[in-house]
Amino acid sequence: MHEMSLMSEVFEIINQTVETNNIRQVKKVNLQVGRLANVAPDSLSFIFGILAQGTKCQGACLMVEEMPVTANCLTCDQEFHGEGFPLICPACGSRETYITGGTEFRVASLEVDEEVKSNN
Amino acid sequence: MSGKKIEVIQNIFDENDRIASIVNESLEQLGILVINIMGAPGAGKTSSIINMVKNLPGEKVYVIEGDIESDIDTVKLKELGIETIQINTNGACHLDAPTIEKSLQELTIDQPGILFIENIGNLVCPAEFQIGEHVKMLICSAAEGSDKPYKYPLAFEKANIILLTKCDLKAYVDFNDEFFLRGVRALNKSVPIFEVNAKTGAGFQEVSQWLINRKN
Ligand SMILES: Nc1nc2c(ncn2[C@@H]2O[C@H](COP(=O)(O)OP(=O)(O)O)[C@@H](O)[C@H]2O)c(=O)[nH]1
Ligand SMILES: [Mg+2]
Ligand SMILES: [Zn+2]
Repeated sequence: MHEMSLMSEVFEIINQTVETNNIRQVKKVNLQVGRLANVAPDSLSFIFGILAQGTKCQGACLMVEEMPVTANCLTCDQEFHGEGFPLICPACGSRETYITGGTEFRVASLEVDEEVKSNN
Repeated sequence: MSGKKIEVIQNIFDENDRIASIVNESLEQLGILVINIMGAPGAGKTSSIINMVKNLPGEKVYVIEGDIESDIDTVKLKELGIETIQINTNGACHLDAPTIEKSLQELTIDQPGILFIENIGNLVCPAEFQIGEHVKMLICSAAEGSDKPYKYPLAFEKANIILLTKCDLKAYVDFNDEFFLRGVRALNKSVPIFEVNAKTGAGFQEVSQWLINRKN
């Protein structure tokens, strides 16, 4: 259960982005979470709601895109999508593989309203 | 005023991984081999450290003990003359690179050698956080049952060396060697597996020899 510390890191990234852009309100935060990242999307949303209070993310929606497990075969070099463990190469049946995707956890994008420039 | 999408694409683990590689490289330059010791609570991590150290007479050994609370293991290691510092995570389920970087300031590294870092007892979270290690050592006890590779695949996938501890208990817990081995090999074709017994010290000489070979 380290969703709390990971979410603090997410907010670090959001705050940096907010500082360097002209943002009035964050409406949506898009995350990509690998199936092997051992992160529970429900607790992410819960913690996001708490940490967002009083920030430009308050009321924003958290979208979690689940990323598939991908692997590479050491025997025949085939790249493939893994359907759970053990990972078996669909091309040659080899079990000598290494994971290339599915452990990631990243902030992909923010959907925002920009600050209105007033002229009067 | 309309909505706008800002691409970010930044990994949450980036900052941790950046610090981990700094720790990794600076310790390597000092001639230190860093072992990240992972396993369930009570798997035998501390007992294994003690037995490995006994079989490393020519090496300078340093230990960082990670626990959620208490310094019981640190006291035990210090009583044996092993240079140890304690980290308490106060609830966090894993060690991370910034924590290690900070705690290294307390450790006087005056000679090349081996640094054992006992991670928090947990088979899930520690596997995801690099802490600057050169070797990921997985401690798995026979008492946990032979199905652990099937239930916690990532830890087994990532291990560079596995110690099967409490082998003296195999007969009492119906440990199925064949089933265990098949599970490990499906995930990690070539990882060395050492069967050990901390009660008698059996098997630890070979483990320590592996560490020495890995270091040189
Ligand atoms: N029978 C037996 N008991 C062991 C062995 N290794 C550790 N233990 C016991 O298991 C318990 C937990 O060991 P410890 O090293 O503290 O585990 P840790 O929590 O992973 O650090 C202790 O009571 C040890 O005495 C072993 O090889 N055989
Ligand atoms: Mg211990
Ligand atoms: Zn193949």
